[in-house]
Amino acid sequence: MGMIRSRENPIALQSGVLALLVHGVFFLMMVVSFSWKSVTPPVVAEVELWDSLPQPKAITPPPEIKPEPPPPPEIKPEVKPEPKPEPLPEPKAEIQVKPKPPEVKKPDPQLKKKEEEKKRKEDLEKLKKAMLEDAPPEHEPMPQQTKVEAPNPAEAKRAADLLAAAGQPSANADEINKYKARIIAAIQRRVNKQLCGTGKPEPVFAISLMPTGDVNGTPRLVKSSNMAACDQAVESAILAAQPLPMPPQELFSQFRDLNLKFKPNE
Amino acid sequence: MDDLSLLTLLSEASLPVQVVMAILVLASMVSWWYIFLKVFMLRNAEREADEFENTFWAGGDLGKLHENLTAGRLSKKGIQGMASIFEGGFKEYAKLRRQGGIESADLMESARRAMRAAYNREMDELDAHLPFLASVGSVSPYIGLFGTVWGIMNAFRGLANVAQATLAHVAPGIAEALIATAIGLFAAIPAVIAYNRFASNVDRLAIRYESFMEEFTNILQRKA
Repeated sequence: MGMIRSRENPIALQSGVLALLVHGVFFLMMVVSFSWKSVTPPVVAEVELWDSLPQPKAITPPPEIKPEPPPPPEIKPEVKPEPKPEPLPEPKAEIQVKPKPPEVKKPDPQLKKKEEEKKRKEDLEKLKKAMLEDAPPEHEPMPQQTKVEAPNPAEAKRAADLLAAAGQPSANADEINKYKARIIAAIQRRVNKQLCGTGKPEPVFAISLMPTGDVNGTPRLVKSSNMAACDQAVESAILAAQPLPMPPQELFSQFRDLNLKFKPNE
Repeated sequence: MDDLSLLTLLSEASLPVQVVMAILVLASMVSWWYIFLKVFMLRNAEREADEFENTFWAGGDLGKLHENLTAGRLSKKGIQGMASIFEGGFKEYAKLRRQGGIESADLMESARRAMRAAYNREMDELDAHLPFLASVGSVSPYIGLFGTVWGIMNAFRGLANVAQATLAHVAPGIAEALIATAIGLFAAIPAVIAYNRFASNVDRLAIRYESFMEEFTNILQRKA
């Protein structure tokens, strides 16, 4: 005796066909009556396209060193206005700078000569170190130095050279600036430009970010553009642009509190 | 991940879930096959019982009826149902009677035993496959549930690696897992309904067979 009795043989085939039929009907019912969602649901994530990506830190040393030396011509203009390196060290760093000048200025000649000699020699070593490991305490003093020595053009230039040669901070600065630019661009895309007229309103907002890219609390107006409507438009654009594009985790500390200058009409 | 059509859900399920689905589909196929077999079998058995009762109670010579049965159209399928009970009992009775010299009580006892044996064979045929239907009805929901639990386990384990979990991450996994339960229920519900219905049909046929045995015994007793 197999699966059926001998007495059932004549009707076995008929029953088998009927059973298959039932399953076919049920399968059809499932396919037809049930609305299977085969359409792609709207994607929640937004994609932003950038022609150049911020360089990740872990790049092989040679390519990073090479682009650095050429800038000497570029550095001069950088040094004079000097607004770019300034925002980098964060408000905290600036506060530290102010009390320091008197301390640093007194031993100026000694310190300078020593440091410069040392640094020239150790430049290469430092470079390697900087590439291999993050050593922010080592490099933090440098921007301070540039500030201190700024009155003296020659010194300033050398310091700037050092700064450029050190590589790490300026690479960081590049990255930070790039991410800031991304954040600003993401927000400005949402600004209702009609509210900002035809002039050159440049409102400045202070925002504090969360790691998710959301704005903590409400954006604070630091400097009004003298057009209340434009300020409003930018503020609502900041809120609407959440979550903002965020840098990698290791850079986030630089982004917790941001002062962003907007130029909606550019 | 985004495609939730039935076939992708089935084909992208994890292996244990697919095995569970295959088992359930197979069980469902076989149980529906048995369901149709039993439907036809029981319908045949009831129709034959009706026909035989009609001819039997129409009166006439029992020996002639027996000859008709063994030689007639029924003989090609073999004698089935109530007729086989009659055949077994009457053959034994006729044989012993021809031998002669046997007390009527013993004669009746032998005929009853022969009828009881035929009755048991018939009941065995009627009860065939019912245990399978009962098993499918009670077990396949659990098998489907196992597939679902396994699939949901996988879906949530995959969620552990995602920083910002959304429903979209688990939805396909859960949907594919729930299909296993759906198939299990699809196999179980008809099996349970069919089992209950067939069991009651078989009981009613058994009662008819037994009452026929008693009545036929009485008839034989009067002749003995």
